Amino acid sequence: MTSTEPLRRAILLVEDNPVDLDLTRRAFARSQLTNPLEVARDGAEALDWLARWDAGQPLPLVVLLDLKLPKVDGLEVLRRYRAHALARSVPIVVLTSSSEDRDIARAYADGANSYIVKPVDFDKFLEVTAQIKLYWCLLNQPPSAHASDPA
Amino acid sequence: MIPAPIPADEAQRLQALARCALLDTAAEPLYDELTALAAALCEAPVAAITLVDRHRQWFKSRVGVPVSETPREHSACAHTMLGDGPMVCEDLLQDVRFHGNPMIGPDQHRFYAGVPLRLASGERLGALCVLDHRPRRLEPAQLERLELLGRHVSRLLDQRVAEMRQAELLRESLRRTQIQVDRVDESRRLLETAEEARLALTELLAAQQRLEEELREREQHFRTLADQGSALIWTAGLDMGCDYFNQPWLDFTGRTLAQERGSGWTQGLHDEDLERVVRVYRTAFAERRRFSTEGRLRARDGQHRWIRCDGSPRHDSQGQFLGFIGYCCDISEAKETEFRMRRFSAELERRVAARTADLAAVNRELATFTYTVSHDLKAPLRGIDGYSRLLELGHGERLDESARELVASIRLGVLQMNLLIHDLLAYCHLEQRQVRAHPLDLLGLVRCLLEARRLEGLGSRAEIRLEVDGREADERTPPVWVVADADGLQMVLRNLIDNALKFSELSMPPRVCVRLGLDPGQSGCVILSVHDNGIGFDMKYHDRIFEIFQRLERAEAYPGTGVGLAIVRKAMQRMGGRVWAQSTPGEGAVFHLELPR
Repeated sequence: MTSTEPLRRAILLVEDNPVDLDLTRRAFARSQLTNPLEVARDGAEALDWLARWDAGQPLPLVVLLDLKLPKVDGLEVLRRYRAHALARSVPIVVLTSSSEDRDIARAYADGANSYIVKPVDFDKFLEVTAQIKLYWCLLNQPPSAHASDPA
Repeated sequence: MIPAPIPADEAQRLQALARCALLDTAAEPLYDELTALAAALCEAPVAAITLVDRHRQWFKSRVGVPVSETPREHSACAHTMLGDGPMVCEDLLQDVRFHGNPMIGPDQHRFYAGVPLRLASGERLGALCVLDHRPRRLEPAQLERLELLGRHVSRLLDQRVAEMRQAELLRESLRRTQIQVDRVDESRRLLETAEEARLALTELLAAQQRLEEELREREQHFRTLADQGSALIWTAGLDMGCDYFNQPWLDFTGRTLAQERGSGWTQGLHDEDLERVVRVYRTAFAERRRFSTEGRLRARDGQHRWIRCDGSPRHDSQGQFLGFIGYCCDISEAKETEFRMRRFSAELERRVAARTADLAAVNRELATFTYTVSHDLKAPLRGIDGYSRLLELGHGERLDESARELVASIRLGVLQMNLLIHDLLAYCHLEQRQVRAHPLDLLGLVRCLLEARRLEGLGSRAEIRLEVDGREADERTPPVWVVADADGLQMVLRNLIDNALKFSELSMPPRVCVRLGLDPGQSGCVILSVHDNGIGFDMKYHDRIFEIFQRLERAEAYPGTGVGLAIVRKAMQRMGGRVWAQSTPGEGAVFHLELPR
């Protein structure tokens, strides 16, 4: 693995709301994030990625997952990812409007690596995206893109 | 030395000697006078009346003899006793029978003369003898008189035997008399006992008669009691069969005692109650325990009526189980009321259940609603704020001053809306979530909140003070324990402290004091008060300020959602505490919390 590889790996954003999606794209753009942003518009699309990874597409650097999604609920997506041989090792950050204790507890119980509440204040949202980029795309050491057998 | 031979009738002789009962008795003048006479007549210094016992000769009377007895083998009298006439030894030393006899010697007895003593029945008992310390002879007249004295002594012995015999007979006779006397005594005692028994019996009979009379009276009393009033009364014996029904029972069923007796009464029970009532009755009998049951009994008019029956075991005065007694009463009317009540109550329960189900559905809807609010209401807000901000960031230089103000106003509206959503969610959560009350340190909680406010830079101009029991709290102040839900209490305190800071913001300087202490009253609760020197409020609005969406001040002066104090009151209600306030306009306000310990 080369040190430049993480910069080219994608971030998978699972988000159904077009406004949130657009704001997130713009916020990431303002933070000069170079990683490509892949988007799943609902839970079912998020699950479609499992087959692509099985087929050899590189794993994303991090998944940003909303909880309230059409078709398949975000927590269900989380469980299915964690049950999948390749996706189980991908860092998942829950990015949602909900600050309910119940949602936080379930997300961590089902294997989320982080839980971030989307702030209404756009300035704070910009801070959040900057922090996500700094931490998950630069500081954090992700597992290999193809999750090859470590042995 | 040749001791005298033992005579052939020795056993009989010893028995006769015993009958005399003279051996070892005290000296008697009657014998002593004869002995003295013998000594005088024979001019002898020694004389004795000798009785020959099994192993000794014993002197009943003696003159010149220092001892009371000597061994039989040394006895000369034992020889004399065997002969029919007198025995005279003029020199004992010359007689071979006494050679070596320690009683006989030059300085002891040398002369002996004795005559046998024998009873009329023939037994020889001993001898009357005289002795001298020198050899000599007796004159024929002296010997004759000695024999005469010997016969005299023999007769005395006969007399003695006869006296003894008579004494014996007398004793026997006395004994028999005593026995008879005893028998007579016993008879008399028996007679006395019999008399006592007769008296006792008479008394007993009288008592029994009195008892029987009393019993008859009581029976009469009982029947009067039992037959008065409306209670149906029955009794049953050990065999579970009923043996008595009072008149009201018979009047009720319209049947005769003969028809109802035994298990006849069960014929009147309703078919649907028969098995159950009989089971209750049998079980109570088997366990000898009180029972109470209800059932329908056919009345005189053929209609069944509801009867309540209370039965109890009955016992005699010794505690012996006798059977049961029961009291029944007609409860048809009460039963009818009960049925109506039950139908009513069932209907009521059905309605309550329906309402509860409706309410649960509404609650579920509300939960879904709040969840939706938290997600979906915030998304467009984020959009509005996001695009407003992007407008400022990307196109700010192309906007004039008034346009920039408009954008700022949009963002302020969003902020306000966001706060309102936040408070509404908090209020709804209070309704829904479980209150988990635990002991917690109120002082520590207040300190944390004040510290958090300080870090956020809120109320930086304010003088904030924390007091416990009237003294400023420091590191040594012990914890103040209350029982409360930590999240709920935090929400309450945050709202009160924020309010105090907000409404005293323009005071010079703002002063906020949080006071903790035990209720001076008897409640045993902890009272927490938040004092401020802010604008205060008119007490006529006291109740309104705790209602949701109620505001006393314009939003531009004191921003807020109008939900904060409603949250405080709701949370205190849920935790079993209280909140109230005191204020005068312009002079600050105090908000009090009462918390259980």
